[in-house]
Amino acid sequence: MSKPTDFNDLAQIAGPEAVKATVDKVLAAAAAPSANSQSPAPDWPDPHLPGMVKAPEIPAAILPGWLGEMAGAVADSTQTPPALAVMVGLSVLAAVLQRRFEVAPFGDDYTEPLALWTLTALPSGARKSAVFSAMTAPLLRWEKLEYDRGRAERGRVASARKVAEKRIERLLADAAKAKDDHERERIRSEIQHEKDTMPAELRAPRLFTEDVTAERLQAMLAEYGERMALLSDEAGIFQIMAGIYNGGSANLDAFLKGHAGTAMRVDRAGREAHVDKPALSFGLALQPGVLSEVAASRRFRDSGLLARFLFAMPASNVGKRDVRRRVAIPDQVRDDYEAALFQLLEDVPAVPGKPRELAMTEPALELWADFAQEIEDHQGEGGRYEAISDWTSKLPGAVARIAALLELAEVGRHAEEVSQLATERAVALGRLLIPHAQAAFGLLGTDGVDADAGAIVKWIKANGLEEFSRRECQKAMEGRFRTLERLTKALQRLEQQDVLRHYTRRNKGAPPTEACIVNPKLLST
Amino acid sequence: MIATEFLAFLGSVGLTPVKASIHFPDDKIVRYRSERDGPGKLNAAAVLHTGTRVPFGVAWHWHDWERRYYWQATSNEAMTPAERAELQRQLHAMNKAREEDAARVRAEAAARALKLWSGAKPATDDHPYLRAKGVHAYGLRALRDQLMVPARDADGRLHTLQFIGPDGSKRFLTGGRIAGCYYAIGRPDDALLLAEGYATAATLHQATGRAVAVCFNCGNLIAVARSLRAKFPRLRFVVCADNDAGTPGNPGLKAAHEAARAIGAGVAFPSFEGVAHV
Repeated sequence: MSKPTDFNDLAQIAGPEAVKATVDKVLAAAAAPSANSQSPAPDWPDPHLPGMVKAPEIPAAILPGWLGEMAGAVADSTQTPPALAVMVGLSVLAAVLQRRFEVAPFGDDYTEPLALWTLTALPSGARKSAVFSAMTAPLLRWEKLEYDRGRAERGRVASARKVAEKRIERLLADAAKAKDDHERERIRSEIQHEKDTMPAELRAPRLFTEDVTAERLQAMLAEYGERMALLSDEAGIFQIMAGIYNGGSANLDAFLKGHAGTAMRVDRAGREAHVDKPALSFGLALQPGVLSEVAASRRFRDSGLLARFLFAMPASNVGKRDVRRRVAIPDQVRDDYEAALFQLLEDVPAVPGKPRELAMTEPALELWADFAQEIEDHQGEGGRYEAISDWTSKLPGAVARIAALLELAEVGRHAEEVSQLATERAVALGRLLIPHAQAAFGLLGTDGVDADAGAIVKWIKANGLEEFSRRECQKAMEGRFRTLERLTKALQRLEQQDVLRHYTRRNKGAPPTEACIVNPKLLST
Repeated sequence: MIATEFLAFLGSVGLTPVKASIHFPDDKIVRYRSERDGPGKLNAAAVLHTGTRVPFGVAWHWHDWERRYYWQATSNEAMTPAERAELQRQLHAMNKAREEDAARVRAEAAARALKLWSGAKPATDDHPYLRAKGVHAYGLRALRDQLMVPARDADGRLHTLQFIGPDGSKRFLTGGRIAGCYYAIGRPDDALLLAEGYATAATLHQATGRAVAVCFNCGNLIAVARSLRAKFPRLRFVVCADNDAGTPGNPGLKAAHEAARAIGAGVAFPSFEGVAHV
């Protein structure tokens, strides 16, 4: 025999008893996972408790070049989670490019505008304002430069309009005193001529606002090239949307249409706003408490308003920051960021034209379609994303928008197509955003199945259960689970969230038992 | 020139073709025998793209399926975004072709395995290998003088076969999937043992009466362990390692510990200290 190595060799040398003794010794020490609550089995992932999904970090490197570098530098300088700077950066990019470009994944008539809604939840004192200031500074500067550049021309136009208005006033008075119809007709044609030749009002371009009512937003969209962004680290906009100025019934259409890019026609007494293709982006940062308050408005969820937001729920750095550490944003990074945004802002038309469409390259389309199909397959009944299917339905569209934004950021405003590289980044970001959305919707109020799942978790924890049968569970919560179907759905949800695993226990001479084993980490947390 | 550079690259990653005269037609996956493969084994593959401004190629080996070796010709020219997009597109298409090729090869192997398994007779304990090892033929089949051990996944699908000759030589059907596949001896009650080879597993079953899963080699222990843990979450597991004390690094014991750590199992291994050798 060659050098012995295995249990067959041991059996041949020392007999099967030696094999049995060796294995039995280890078996006695190897407790079943269900009885081992002190040291969780390493193969169990962390459970995702209903409403408590742990969201992964969104690194700044997910954004390309100058944008990623700036987001990283801002996060480092302010000691904030990079997710905040990433989300604000994306909203800034959308503010700059929306309405001028669109993405047409298939290269046909299905297009997605580049408006993007992002919402980051961080507690008070997390330095949200510092991040906003740094990321939006170039937009403010650009607005100011444009304001100064057009000042003389605006003054000239304003005085010409004033003169024309005064002259029309005088002509109207003359017309009232006219001696005959002939003279009155002459004055009327003069008034018409004044109106026709009056120069159109000139406004300094605006890219974003912080606080606006729905009505004023409609007017702003009409006045500023059919595009506007709302970048704010305060919760005021939600109060407006909840109807603080409208007796609790806000006009959400202005916001919703701005995301979809559908035509807006307002014909009210005293105001008119005709916008063919509005583009509205959001970049918000709120306290988690405010976010859960938002849930009180069922209209926000039912109207699809919340489903339009890309949520980031990063872990706050408050309490972990090094107060002595002071890292400034490198000048080079800040300058590159501003220069790149200014370049993207060149040739901004005063009058909105038709947005330029960017199709996806074939591999980019494949990648995007794979992702969209994956989402679709999991958002049906009983699927992983069933509870947030209103949000996941919009995710592929949002990913296509992000891909186009990133392509334009990297290649510049002359980009022709959305590349695979940009799509890869967008899809990666989309995947990261799913657990964030799950966490956000957990905070916003869960669906019925989640509520049932939460009740089961409470029951497991209260009784310290390591495993249980389906029958035991139904019996313990008879009031809630009158049908087995409802219980099965809740158990399936918990299985998807790695809280428990289902198995069939064989019984000698009796029918098998449907049972569940609990993730030991659930009981140790 | 490009072909020479590419061949040198293949050598640098340990995938030197046995045939020095090998030719890589543009954009075509070429499967070939590398210096680390036995006769008749086309386990290495490579593809070369010379149509781009900066030619590039990819190589991989069947035994290390997840790993790919990328090569790009040395060039002073930076790629434009369009070229980079084209390169990405080609890589994507190539990966797809590679996946399809692998899926096709595996499906063919599985079909061949099923055909051979269906046509074979049950093996008896008289087989020289089983006699030499002193174990029974638990559900094995025989084709001529070869024992056949089926490798199935956790859902029971047959993927490939292991052939064991009378002299103990072992080989698998070419191209079949082995990762995560195992052969089960007995039905588990409250514990399940994992072992590398059939003879070891049969010995353990005979000695303990416990169910044992044959994982075929130490590299497959962890994949099988994870797959079985997912299938049987409440069982106790013991990984019964080969004690390769004479081999540097003791790969059998090392792999067993890794698998055990991954699923929270115990590790049993034979100790021959103080045991009289026959």
